[in-house]
Amino acid sequence: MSAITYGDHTKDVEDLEVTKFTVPSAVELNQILLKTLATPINPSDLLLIRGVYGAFPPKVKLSETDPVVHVAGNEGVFEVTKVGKNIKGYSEGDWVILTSGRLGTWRTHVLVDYPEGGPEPLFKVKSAGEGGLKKIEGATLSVNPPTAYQLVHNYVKDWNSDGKDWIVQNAGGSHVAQFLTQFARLLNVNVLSVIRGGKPNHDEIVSELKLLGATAVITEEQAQSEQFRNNELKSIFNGGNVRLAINCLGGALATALFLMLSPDGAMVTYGALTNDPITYPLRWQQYNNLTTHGYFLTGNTKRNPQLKIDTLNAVIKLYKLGKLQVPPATLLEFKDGNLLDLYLQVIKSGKKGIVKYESN
Amino acid sequence: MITAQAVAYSKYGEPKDVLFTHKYEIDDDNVPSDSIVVKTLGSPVNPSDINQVQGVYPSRPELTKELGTSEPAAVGGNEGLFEVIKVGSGVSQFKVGDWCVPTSVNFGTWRTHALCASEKMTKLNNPTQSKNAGKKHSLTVDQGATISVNPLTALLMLTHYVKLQPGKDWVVQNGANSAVGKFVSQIAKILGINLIGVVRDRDNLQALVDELQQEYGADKVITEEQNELRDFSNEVKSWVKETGGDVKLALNCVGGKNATALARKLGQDGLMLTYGGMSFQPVIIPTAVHIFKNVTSSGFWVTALLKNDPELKKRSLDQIVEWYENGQLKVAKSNEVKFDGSDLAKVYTDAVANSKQGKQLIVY
Repeated sequence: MSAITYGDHTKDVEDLEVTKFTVPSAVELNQILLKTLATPINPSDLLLIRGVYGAFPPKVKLSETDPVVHVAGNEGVFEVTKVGKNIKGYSEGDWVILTSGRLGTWRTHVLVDYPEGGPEPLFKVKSAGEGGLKKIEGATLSVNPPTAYQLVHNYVKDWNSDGKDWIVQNAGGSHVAQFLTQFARLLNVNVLSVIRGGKPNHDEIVSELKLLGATAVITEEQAQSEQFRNNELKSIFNGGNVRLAINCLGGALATALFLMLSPDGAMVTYGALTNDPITYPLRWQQYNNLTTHGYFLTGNTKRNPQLKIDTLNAVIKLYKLGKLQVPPATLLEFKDGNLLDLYLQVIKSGKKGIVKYESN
Repeated sequence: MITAQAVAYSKYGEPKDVLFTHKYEIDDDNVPSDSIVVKTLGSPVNPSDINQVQGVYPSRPELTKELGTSEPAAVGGNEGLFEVIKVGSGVSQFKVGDWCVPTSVNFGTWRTHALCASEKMTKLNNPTQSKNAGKKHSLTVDQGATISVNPLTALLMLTHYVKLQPGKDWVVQNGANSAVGKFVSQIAKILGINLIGVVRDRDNLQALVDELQQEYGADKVITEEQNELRDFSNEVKSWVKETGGDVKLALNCVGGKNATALARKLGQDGLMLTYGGMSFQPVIIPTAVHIFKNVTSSGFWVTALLKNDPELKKRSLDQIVEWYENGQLKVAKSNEVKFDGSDLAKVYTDAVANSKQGKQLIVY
């Protein structure tokens, strides 16, 4: 068994290590043993390793004999292999995700303590033998799809299906944005995605986003141009109702979205990649009755745990119906050899990647 | 026949260039059955009235030939107090001598008389009616003529959005020395809501602080500098801790850093309402305030809120009148200019010119 781990000395991904550990041949009454099926490499995983969030997650004990360590990774899908006698509701072969990222997911196996009366550590995504959910879908289920789903559904409750409602979003190439596009299109809501321009494969990116359902894709430069907004953008919206703006950048790119909103619209901020605050003209807000909100999945879940469960179930249902797909990502397979090399390969490519554990 | 005068404009521009006096006849012997004739007791000049004439205000009346002008025109003014002088045979909710204010904006209140459908007006108690009802006070012309914008803005911002627990919760507002700000302080006091008012620093600061606390009931008055100081928030936190509530509402009419500091004072799930912009600075909200405190920032515009809700307007007006009658509410006196029967447009253009020195009220 291997895990990708780090200590307090870790400054960057270069310092990651592989720690070997053993799992018991039989589990205790209140334990479940999981084997890993697939995990993604998210930008936030790397930020956590680099200490950008200011605090590391708590260390975990991989086995009785090994020292406690931080295990990298926050998302992943696992298969139940052994179930303690006291635990109800799980069988060998079920697929689960971890409800908290604290145990780390870049590892071949996880031994989960199932506390009596404590918080539920697992969420079942598929029963043993049931079809319809792929490994890569399960692996990326915990963060981006529920974020995107709630952004679409929590602020506007009465979307019109007449094809005239719009959502505008920046960071349009992010996975959240690509999930959001799909959820919006299922409601017949149009999506304008703003992406950074000037990349050599710009046209390819645009057609990929449109293939997933984006109605229109424009560049950040265009979004910030008053001339563009007053002319080309007006004809793109074609009299439609721009009801929701989704911002994870802040600064001028948030202002640009705000200025696209129709009267009574709302802008929701769920990230601050530029570190700049949200700024907008005061009278524009007052006379157009515009509202700005913040969105935080973890906060929502803390306040109402059932909301996340309902959201996950809604997302899983769409996967099973074949109505949703994981946005393009590099796929790598771990069979044997060095687990860390595989992860570093993805990290260094700078692309979104998912590691499938084929040996498990 | 009444010969009425109105201050009208048929194109947008600076008031002194475009306002003109229009005289027209009202046949008060043949009032349509659903209509009333009113005479004006007083109407003020508000900044938004001026912006409307300039054509830069988003709500404006249609230009029509209804009053017999040669070009389509509109009458200026949105607020005013009127007295009913004739009542159509089918009208039951008014009698001669009643006081009333326009039900909606864009009525055109800069005029001596008006003939209108009765539902265009909303009744308020006149002095005789207040006295007969055993009230301590009755509405003054100044109070009645300026009741529709500032007092309603203050009341609705405090009551229409967030549930505030009396004695516990806090509201923080900038522009505390403005006309709306003073109503906010007084109404918060009446409702038992704790209030922090932010004012600009000045030489005679203590006199202003005393005035806002003693005359208008503000609990705490702080300067813009204190508002923007990160360390000062501990002071605010200790006030809030003492009452066991939270800062749930921020009222912003300034923008810029001032508004940012206001938003930072909000507790979890707080709301900031922006209702005006004296400085023309943008609203700036730190992302963390939005994401981690779940703070919402919304616009407030009394015109839009009440446009489709005459019931809410009526209820709110009645509440303000009651507080005036009980002597619980006061309004900073306007500069009153008496209309002497000369050129009405000149009276209003002079008032527009003087409006920087304080609110101008034309009384008839």
